Amino acid sequence: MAKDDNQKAEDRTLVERFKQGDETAFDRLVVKYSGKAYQIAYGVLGNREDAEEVAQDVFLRIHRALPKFRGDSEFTTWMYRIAMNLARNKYRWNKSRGSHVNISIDAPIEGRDDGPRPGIDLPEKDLSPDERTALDELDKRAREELMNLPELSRQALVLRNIKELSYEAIAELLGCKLGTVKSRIARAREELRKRLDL
Amino acid sequence: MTDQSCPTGDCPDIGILSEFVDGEKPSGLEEHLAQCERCGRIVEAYKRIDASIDQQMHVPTGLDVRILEAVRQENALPKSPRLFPAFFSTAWRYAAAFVLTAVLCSAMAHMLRNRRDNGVGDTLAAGNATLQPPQGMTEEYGRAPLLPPEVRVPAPGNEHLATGPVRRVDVTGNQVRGGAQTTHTRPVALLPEIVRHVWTIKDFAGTKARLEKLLPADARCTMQKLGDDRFSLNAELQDKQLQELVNGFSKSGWGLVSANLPQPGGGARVRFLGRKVLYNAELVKVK
Repeated sequence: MAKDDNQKAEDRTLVERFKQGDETAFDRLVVKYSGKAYQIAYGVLGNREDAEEVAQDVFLRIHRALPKFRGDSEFTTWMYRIAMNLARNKYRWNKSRGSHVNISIDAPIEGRDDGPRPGIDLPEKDLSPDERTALDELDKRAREELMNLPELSRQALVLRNIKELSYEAIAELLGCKLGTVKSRIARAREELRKRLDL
Repeated sequence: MTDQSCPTGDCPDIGILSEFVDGEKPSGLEEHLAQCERCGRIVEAYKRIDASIDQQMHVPTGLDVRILEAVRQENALPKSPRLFPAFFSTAWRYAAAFVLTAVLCSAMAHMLRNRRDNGVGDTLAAGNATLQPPQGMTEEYGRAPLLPPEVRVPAPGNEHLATGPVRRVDVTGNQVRGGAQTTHTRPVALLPEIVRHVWTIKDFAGTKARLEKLLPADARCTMQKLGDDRFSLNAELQDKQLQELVNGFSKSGWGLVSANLPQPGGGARVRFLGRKVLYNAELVKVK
């Protein structure tokens, strides 16, 4: 809890510094939280490219709105909510255009699962050889099955895997009750376990 | 709370196991997991699934750098002007939209009323269109047609229909008096479509020359001698031109007998709309 309090105090200081014109304070906020914004977006969209686009949009909006941020809620709560809203908007947009089946650009090509991954030079390609090896068959199947889960269950499960995101925070982000979040996560895990024969 | 498929029969349900993976530590669960191979396998499966998801959620390298670059690029772009100031919250925008709509509706209703009330004026304002006088004004005025045949003026017995302001409106304005701004309301008149005036003059020759000087060059007008001591003038003018003409007549030393608007120097009481007005003046020589 003390660590959380320190984090919140540091965030408040950074926000105040930015309001007073210190642009480096915003840089620090981006370094601290861009990953979280990306992961929240990924949880909703299940697509790396879209998630990065949303993460970028989140901080563009925060940069514009931060001078008016009154601090009624913690910076992280505010930022997570923006990320969730933008990701949901993007998800609906994709769905309306018939591209809601989120296939990542670096996902295995159909019929070539055993072959090399497509050589598109994306940031994610900076993985080390060890990390590449770790993307074994189970991970490939887990990725596919995760995207086949019901949207609400998938979102809850992915958000739970974001460090420091509590059940309560997830419930607030998804706009549902704590018990609902827990049961969605449990059902999603169990469904995946069955589909992956674990 | 038991999983019926569990061999031991008293295994916790998947909700408890899922929460255990998330760090919840219900009492006795760890001991149960140490004994129950099935539940232990489920917990391990959940952990592997989480590890797989963690891997999928690997944050791309350099994400923060790219975001900061995008923010700097956006800041470098010229900002488009805001339609509303920053303090204009959504509620205020709705309120402003409501007020604007109400004002527009009111203006439109006012305009429609004007059109209905001023049917002749609309026809006059149409330029060269045929002038249609109001009902009861179809007789030719004077002994000879003074204006082109399609232009008709009221018969002598119907002057009351064409005299006096058609409407008075109250206009509210601000004025600075003694350094303080005050709000005042004053009545303003609109000129009718047809104005009849009687003027007194001193001699014919001087009056004709003066008239030629005062009448606007582009005004359609005719003059007709009605007798030894009087003649008439009919002119089609804009309302403001008529006010200037009346001012000019007065400065020439002619006396306006009629009490109706426009009066010399009375422009402040009239609101000019740029409408066409048919002016019928009778100039009477007095000794």
